[in-house]
Amino acid sequence: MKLRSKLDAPVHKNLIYILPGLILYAAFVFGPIVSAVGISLTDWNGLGLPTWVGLQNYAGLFSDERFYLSLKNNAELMVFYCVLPLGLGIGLAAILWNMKPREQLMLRTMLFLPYIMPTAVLGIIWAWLYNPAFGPINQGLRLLGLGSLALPWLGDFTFVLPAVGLVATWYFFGFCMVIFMSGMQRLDPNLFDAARVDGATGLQTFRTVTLPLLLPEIRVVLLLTVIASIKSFDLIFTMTRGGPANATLVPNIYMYQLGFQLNRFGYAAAVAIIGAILIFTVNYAIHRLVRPADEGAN
Amino acid sequence: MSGLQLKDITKSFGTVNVIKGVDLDVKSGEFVVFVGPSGCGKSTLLRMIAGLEDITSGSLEIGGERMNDVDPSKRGIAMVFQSYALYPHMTVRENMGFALRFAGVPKPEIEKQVLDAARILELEPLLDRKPKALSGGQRQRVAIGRAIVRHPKVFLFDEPLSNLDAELRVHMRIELAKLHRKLGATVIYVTHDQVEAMTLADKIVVLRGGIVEQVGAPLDLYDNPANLFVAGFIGSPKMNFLKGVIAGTEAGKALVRLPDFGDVTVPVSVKATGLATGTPVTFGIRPEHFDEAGSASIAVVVDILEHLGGETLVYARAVSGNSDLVTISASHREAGKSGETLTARFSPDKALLFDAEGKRIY
Repeated sequence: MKLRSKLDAPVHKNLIYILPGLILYAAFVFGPIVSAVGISLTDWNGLGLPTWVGLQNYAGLFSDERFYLSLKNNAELMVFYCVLPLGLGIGLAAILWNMKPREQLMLRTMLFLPYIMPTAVLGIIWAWLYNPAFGPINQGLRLLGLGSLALPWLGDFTFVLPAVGLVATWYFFGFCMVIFMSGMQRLDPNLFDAARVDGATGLQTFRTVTLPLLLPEIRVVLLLTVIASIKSFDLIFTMTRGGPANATLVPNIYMYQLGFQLNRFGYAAAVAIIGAILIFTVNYAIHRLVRPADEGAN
Repeated sequence: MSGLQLKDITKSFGTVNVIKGVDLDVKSGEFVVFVGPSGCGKSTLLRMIAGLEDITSGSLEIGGERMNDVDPSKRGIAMVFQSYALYPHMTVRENMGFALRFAGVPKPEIEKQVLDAARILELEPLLDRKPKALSGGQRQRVAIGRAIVRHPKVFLFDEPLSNLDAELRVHMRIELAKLHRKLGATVIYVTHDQVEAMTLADKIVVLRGGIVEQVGAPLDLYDNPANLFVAGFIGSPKMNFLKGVIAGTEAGKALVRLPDFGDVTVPVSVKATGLATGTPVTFGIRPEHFDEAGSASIAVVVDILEHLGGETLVYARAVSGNSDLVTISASHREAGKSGETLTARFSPDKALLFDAEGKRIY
């Protein structure tokens, strides 16, 4: 039989073509994951030889209050990373959708802008904005005669988490809005005409037609923001380093402290692995629970 | 059911006038078809009646009430869209009951209305399916069902059959005609397909460039088109237009010389007097009006033949080769061969004359 192309050769002969990619993947993705799992089963200070401890690190985590605190903080941050950007994004998308093209383009670009900046830079900028002495936020409050509200935002146990979280909301909502607007473009405009003829008000149309049909976009947004929230590090690191008194401690910051400040690499790796498992679990749940509304034929 | 009146309706998008003063009277229970080429404004006019587009000027009355500024849902209309516009996340039952839900109709009543409509359209086994699980024809029926449950005064159809294949289109056309007879509803139907217009309509409104070219019963438009556009648009295959010159008049007839066809002269019945000799005219004859028993004839050379089984379409040119293609419909299969010269006979009574502006010379 004559071969049409070299690529029709048996798999083992073609392996050479995908080998470079495979090697890079193994060296920089798969390898580190496997070694992280390996390290998490050891006690290692990063210099000497690791000591095999089995699941002891994981067992330790389950009785580690700081770890639980970091998970609780992370769950609270999800409101700011996922829920608020999703709500704001979808609301703004609906408002912008009814605008004239030029105004729509201008607002869409402006609202999307935070997303193009590195979060570490945003963290530094916002830390300055929040500065209790000379930060513009408190200066503005004092100018308005609301000096009593001019709190040390990033030093206050109650407000530090929302203060950091709001930056994440500000970072993500424009991105969510753009995703929802592209979703709306996908919908048949006649559906909205039909709803008008059927007597649904703007709000009813949004609730009964637009929202259920945007479920695929809602799912994408949820997946991306949930991953971002569990992975959150740079914003918190640049703004509070997990403080004050662990008020903004999240698993990734905790992992950093354990590994790079206390040299407990085995324990830190266990935190990382739990974080990864958490991401997989939450994503699986979202995949299962948020399904396109037109599915289910019968 | 009730009628509908349009009085000098116009529509502009900025400086562009899309509808340029339309007057129309639709009687209760009438099936009116808006027909015209793409961009003639027929869909815009329908959307204006539905309330989905504002009316720039003029007045719209449904059942004797002015409706210009009334919300679409309160006009007593129901609309069937070209894309069906079924809500993809709702079942057939929910789609059909959607409007009643917002009208505050109690649930048992909605269920009853939906079942009644489903029975009429034979949709009962499909009520719990979602649109994705329906065929094109079924979706179309659901879209019609959604309109029926509202018991509208006027049904509006926007090219409802254009997404269906040819066979299903014919089937649905018949279904629509039956449904209209059963419901006795007033229907306004938009299409670019003149066969649909001819077969469904009580009254056809031919639109071009935002103005009404002619309004009339289908056969009226076929027999007595007011101008070249209507003559060419109504009828399939379309009417042949031959260049002609008035060669004289005699006793209610105009003698028309056809320069492309060896200056043959055809006497055409006209009421108009004072047609000056030498006036250029367009001579119109439909393909199906060529007839071996006719008293007039033109000589043509056969170009291409199309055998349709029941009839044969002959596409031919003048012997001189100067004319446009002439289409001749022949009832027998041995109508000629490609390259052969034919004498195409017709009755001059069937021919129509149009002046240089395209207006009919009666």
